[in-house]
Amino acid sequence: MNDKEIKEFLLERLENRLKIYGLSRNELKGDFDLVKSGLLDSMAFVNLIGDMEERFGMEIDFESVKEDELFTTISGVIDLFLNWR
Amino acid sequence: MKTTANNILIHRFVDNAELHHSRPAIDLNGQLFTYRELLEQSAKIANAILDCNPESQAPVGILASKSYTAYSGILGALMASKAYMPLNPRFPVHRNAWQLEKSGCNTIIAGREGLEHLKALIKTSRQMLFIILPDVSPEEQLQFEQDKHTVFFAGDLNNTSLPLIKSQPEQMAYLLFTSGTTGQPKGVPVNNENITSYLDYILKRFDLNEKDRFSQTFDLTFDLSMHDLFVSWLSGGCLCIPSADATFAMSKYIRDQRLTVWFSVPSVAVMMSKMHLLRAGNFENLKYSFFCGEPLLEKTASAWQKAAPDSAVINLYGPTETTIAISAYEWKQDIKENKVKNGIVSIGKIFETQDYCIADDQDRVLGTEKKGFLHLSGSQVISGYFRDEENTKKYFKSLKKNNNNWWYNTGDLVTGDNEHDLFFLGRQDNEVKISGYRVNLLEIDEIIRKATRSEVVATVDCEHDGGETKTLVSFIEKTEDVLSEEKIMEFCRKHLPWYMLPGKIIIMESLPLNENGKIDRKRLSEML
Repeated sequence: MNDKEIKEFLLERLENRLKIYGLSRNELKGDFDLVKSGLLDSMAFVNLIGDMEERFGMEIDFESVKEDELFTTISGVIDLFLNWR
Repeated sequence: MKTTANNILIHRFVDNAELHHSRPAIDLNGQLFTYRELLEQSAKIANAILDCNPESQAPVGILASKSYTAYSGILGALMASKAYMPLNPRFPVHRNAWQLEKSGCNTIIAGREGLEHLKALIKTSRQMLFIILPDVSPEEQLQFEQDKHTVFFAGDLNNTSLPLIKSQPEQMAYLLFTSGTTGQPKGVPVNNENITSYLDYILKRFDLNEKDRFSQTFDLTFDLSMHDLFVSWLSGGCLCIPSADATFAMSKYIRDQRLTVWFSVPSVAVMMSKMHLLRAGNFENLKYSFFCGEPLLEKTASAWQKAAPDSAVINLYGPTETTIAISAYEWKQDIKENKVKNGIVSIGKIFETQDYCIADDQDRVLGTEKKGFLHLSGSQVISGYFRDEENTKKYFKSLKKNNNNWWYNTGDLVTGDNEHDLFFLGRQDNEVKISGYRVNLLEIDEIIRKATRSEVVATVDCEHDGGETKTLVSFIEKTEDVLSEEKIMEFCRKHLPWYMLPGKIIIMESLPLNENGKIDRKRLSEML
């Protein structure tokens, strides 16, 4: 699993949302915040993480994730999975 | 009705604040405010309101969210013998502008978090406004036509003396708006008698005191926030407000802040469960966990109970029209002893202080173990919608039962057992709950019809994970000049709050019809 793979899966899952919000994949830079931008609400974000956990066979321990670690940005989500042991 | 200090909400607060003056009333993410401080700040705001508008009966708008100004603003409005009306800074400006117009509100208390929204809102207002900004100084460039409006800044608020309270029991305490069928929200005015009846019941039934630390998870536009604020303050306890950043770190917040009373929609528990945060024994300090606003699933209640082993888990039920909640079910530690139907926990018994019956769609009263629409009556039930005779007539009626002539039809389909515990079975209209928010699907359709040239629109809700979460999907029939999904969405975002936005828009050649020639929403749902 590498960052490209994670990003690809992430963007695939967001396709419907991107369409209705008029955003193209290329516009989604690493610092794009999926929740603060209003693209996803917190429940949709958690569901997305759940799908990714299933896809990549991991379980993220949110108890140990610090709240200020911007994990709701594109690169935040990628790092979350990439650095998870 | 007799006016006593007991059935006026603000009197109750003032009495408790004086009793517990040096204790903390608010813990705003670590910043503490005592009851005395809160009382004084509220009095300052109340005196400013009275300087603007002593005689007006219109509610005072609160354009703030989970800030000291939000809480002291609500208390200030009540202390000025007026009602308050929350204006959510996260709502579209159009929606708040509509609320201002509908309610006749011309006094707004805005927190720093509402300033950007305020600037846009002012542009839409034709009338002169009184604007109170308790945490803003005049040096800040606000960039709106200040000379057209009267603005009070932090430094203008000096009078800490308690004004004479003239509120009456039947006088409105707060005005909320809930999703309607015609594309226009319905105003729900809750009066002092309604809210104090609710609070009295809760304070008597549950063992709460000044050592308790209460969560504040609800938006102020959600009436369950009134429970957070006033159950906490009338117990002399501390209201604990997490920062927005804590959304995904709620379990840490519960532990670090040593919360003893939790209250949220079940969706928050579901979210925590999906994040693997409901570990056994995780919340040892909790003594009460209340859930309300949407069906509580058996698996959610049971997972929460394991995480909070010493907490009573209570499922509350009640429409905004009957003031916060009107029935309760206490979850039993032994899962097998619980009353559950279709995986949904019973909504329990209607409070003994209120009255209920089950009636069919012809308003015929049925037995309490029959399946039908729940009707409610009593001191918690509002007398009708705000300046809306049509909807009042539709939902508030007299029924032939116990000479009690004012019944509110909740539209909730229920059934009861032989111990008078009730079970929620669903609805037969187009109202759904999205994370606890009441959403009428027809209201979304109406907005989409305005946005697009297509007349044929149907929004349906689509369930995931066995009813744990829902998304809205809007189907639109294709016309020659139908707008793109993106343009439709752009319009929706200008007119609908976030929880009413479709997650998906599907433009089709034609929408399926049922045998009555109406759009077949059931078939559309099945297509997803």
